[in-house]
Amino acid sequence: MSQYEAQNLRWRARRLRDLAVKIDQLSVFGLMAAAGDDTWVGPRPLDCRNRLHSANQGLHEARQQVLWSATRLDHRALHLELLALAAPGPR
Amino acid sequence: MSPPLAYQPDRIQALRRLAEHALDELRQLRCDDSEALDAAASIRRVQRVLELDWMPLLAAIESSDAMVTWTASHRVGLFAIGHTKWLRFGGASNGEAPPWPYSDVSDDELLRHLELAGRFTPAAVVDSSGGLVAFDSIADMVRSDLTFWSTDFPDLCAELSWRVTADPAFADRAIAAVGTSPLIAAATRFAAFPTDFTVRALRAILQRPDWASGAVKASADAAAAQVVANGAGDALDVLSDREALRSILQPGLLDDSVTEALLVAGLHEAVVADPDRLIDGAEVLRTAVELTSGTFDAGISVGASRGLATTMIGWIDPIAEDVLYENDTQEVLMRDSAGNDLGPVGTYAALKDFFGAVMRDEQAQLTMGTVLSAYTDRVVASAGGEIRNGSAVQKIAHFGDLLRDAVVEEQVEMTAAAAAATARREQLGGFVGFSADALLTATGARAAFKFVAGEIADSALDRFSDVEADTMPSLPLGKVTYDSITLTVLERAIDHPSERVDLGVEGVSDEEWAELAHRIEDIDRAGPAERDGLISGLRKAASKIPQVDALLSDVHGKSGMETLLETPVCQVIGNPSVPT
Repeated sequence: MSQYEAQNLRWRARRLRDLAVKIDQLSVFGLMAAAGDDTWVGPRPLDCRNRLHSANQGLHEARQQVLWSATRLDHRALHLELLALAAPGPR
Repeated sequence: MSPPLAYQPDRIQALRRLAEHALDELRQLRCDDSEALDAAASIRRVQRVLELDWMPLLAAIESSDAMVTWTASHRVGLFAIGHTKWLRFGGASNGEAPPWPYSDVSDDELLRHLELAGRFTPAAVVDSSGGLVAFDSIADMVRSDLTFWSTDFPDLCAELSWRVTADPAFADRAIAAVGTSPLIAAATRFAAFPTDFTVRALRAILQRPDWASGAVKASADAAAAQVVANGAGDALDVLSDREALRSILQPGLLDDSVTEALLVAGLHEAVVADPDRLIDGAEVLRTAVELTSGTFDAGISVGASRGLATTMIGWIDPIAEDVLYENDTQEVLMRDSAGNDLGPVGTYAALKDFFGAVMRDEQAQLTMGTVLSAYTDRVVASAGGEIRNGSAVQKIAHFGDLLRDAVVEEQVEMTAAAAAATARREQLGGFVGFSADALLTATGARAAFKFVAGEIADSALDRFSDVEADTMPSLPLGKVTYDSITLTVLERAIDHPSERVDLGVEGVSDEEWAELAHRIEDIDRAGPAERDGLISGLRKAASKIPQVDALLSDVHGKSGMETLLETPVCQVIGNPSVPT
């Protein structure tokens, strides 16, 4: 049972790490470079850039949180695996 | 009506394709794990920004007449900004009237319009019926139904903001023109300008020598309010300009509420938000101390007094580290919480002038009393069991001495003392410093302190206004500080049994502690008439307990404590009465 739970936790951690990689590769982070003052100028472009910058920062922080969650799940899996190893009886 | 924008047509097409691709990626990104809920919300937020802000604007640009004409005929309708060719969104490439008011005027004409409009005084504007109407601010005029101010002025601001954003050279020119066109600074309040332009515009207008014009004053108020709205860091940038700071402190220039907000944002919130800016704040404070020491015959403005008093909740710590009266020419050094040198804040004499100027306003007096009490609570709590042997008590005592020396009227001293006595029981030590309230944002911490300080001010005024002026006992700030230190140290020992060994008061019975606690509660609740008697009673009760008596003897023997009890050198002006 513990081993099954541990596998499940490791699978979830892998999926979270995949998500972090996908977030990292999003082209929306490169959009700002293409939307500078050499493309459009004025208060509304400035406003668009500011809003996207703020939203991108939130996404970046969420990515860090996802990686942290994955690490925690891996630790819990390791803990369960060690418990299973230490348990008496046939393995 | 949205403000205009200019764009490079080929680059805007590429940007639209990139944005579409980015949006597709975001829509396909899925993860149903419960640990990914925040990430999913963040993804949706980015998606919404693109869907609601970017795509509609890009689509509108691409479907505009100018773009269609350009796409069909290649290079029609282009105009120059610097060395590159641009199209204007909604531009009049086909000879129709320009869709944006003032978009077809030259840079010179635009500045001329603003210069002419700036020759007004908000106290007397001619309305549509030919009568004179007074307004408090440009914002009120824009909100009114005045023909120019409610319609053309916002359009002028929008056009100015567009040109300033698009063309750095024009931005420099506009800043240089603030001297003759104060409304350039005011415009920053009524359209979206780059924040650094707003800072430069406010600095420029505050450096103007002629403040007679109502338009200059109203424009400075508007730009200052916008700087505060843009962020505390921008406010600190403005304060860092010596000439701008001189104008900000001077009475009668900026509106008092704007001055207060600017000082609190720049000198407190900016440092809480970014600790690296402590050194910039220290430089501003040093300049403020220097300027208040002899620069202003009529003192500083009410807003400056209130703003500076509020910021002391952060700056009392760096200043009080080194305050030790030896002579008036002694330089007082500021230190951060790690003991690092932040440079001198000024001489002892200059600091006396500074706090004397700050404490001319009653609200500032109440705030300073509250700050002193909060500082006492913070220092005693930080020192814990070390209070008996360390230098904590003398820091409070020396700062109390400084404030007492700074006061030139007995009534001022009594007001600050009333607040200090009232605030003691609130235990406000958590507010002191720049990082004390980690759970609150910079603005939140300031707002919370302001609320608490306001409550204390009301309570202090209520308690002390109940007493007849003729029978009002003297309430020296020095003695109140002395008593406050005594009460706070005793309270520390009562509330923290684990520190009693370090304080040397182990072995005192629970009954004895309970009696002291009861007496302290009575003192905190008492009005000024009963206060001295109750404190004497506490001292007598404490003296009967040898360990507590020895503790208080050590505390009272610290440097600066005896000085607190000396008769203050105050000028009694009129009948010393309670503040009302």
